[in-house]
Amino acid sequence: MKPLARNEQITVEQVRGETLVYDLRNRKAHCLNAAVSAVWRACDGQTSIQGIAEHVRRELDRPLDEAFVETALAELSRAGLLETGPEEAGRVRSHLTRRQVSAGAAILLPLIATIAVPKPAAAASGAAPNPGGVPL
Amino acid sequence: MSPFSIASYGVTVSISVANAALLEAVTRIAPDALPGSKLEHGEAARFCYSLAETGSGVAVRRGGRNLISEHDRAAAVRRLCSDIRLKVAAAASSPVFIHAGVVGWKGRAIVLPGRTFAGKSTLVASLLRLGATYLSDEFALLGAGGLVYPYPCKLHIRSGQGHGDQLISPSCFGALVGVEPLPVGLLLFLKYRPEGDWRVRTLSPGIAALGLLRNAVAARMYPAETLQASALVAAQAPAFRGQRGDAQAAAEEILTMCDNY
Repeated sequence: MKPLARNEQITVEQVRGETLVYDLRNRKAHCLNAAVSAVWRACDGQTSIQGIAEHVRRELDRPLDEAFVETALAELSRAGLLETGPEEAGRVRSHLTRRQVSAGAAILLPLIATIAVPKPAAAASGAAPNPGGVPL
Repeated sequence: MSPFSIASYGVTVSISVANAALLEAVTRIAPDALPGSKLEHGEAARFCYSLAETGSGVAVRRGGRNLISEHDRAAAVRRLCSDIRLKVAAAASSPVFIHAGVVGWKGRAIVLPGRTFAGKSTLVASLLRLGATYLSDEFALLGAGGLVYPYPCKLHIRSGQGHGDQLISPSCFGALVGVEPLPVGLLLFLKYRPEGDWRVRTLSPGIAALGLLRNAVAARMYPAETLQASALVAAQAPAFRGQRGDAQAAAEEILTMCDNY
């Protein structure tokens, strides 16, 4: 599997190693932590999971393994930030399930925080939903 | 009477009034209620309002639709201005309007994002009593370079005891009104908990930027501009989230925090 980061209909900003992504398709905004940001940047469609893990280790100088990359990819896929077909998406999800069951990598949580961007009236009234669970 | 136009942050609205008494009410109240606005002539209006006396009070219409009905002129004009403020905030791409209270302290802005009924004005009033400069109790205007611009309409204090709302000048708290944009010194996402203790914890810059985005009025209309402005501010200021109880005690904590960062 050689994942490819989505780059259409999104707006991206970097903030001190974290990545902010505004998804124009569903009007959700995501914050990727530094480690997941590094994984996402490495998703060029030509690099394997092993290669991504090596890239992230070099970039962050942290002992992050392939299991972490798989978990990060699952989160990225769930957020709709990868160009994956249904078959690959299924594989990513199955990796996540195994990882969750084994309570694997001690990773920096949350990997990805998500909010629904409010309509103007909702921003004024406090009625905006917050499905990503970022308690702000 | 012929309509007149008001421009605010690049957004022009036209207002038609039915008589001289309504015109007097608008010209008396609107300048204070619409910071950064000026009278315009001949500009194409993005929104068109009208005010007319009815048998039971004053009706405000926008684009031909009934919007507000109030018993007295002043209340109707205040509601009109409130609607215009929100329309301007939603239509302006620069600066970026964030729902927030803002005060200045030692040359830096303390930004308290939060929506209506979040307790912003009460906290801002307490900060003013302790010597902070007033910038806004409604919007933080994020402009070029990550600076926050003043938006000093009167403080909107809710009595909570059935006495209605009050619009109070910052001078009533002994406060000066800021006129210059300030760099952000502190970002605080606070929830009011009656009887609650002061309890906050650090937010990463990215999560703080999401918090700003969540309180941005025009985030859907101008996603790139809003994301960029939020990221810029969040990158330069420490950010916290948490809860507060008593506003005066919280104000003291906030100013101490600002001094320490």
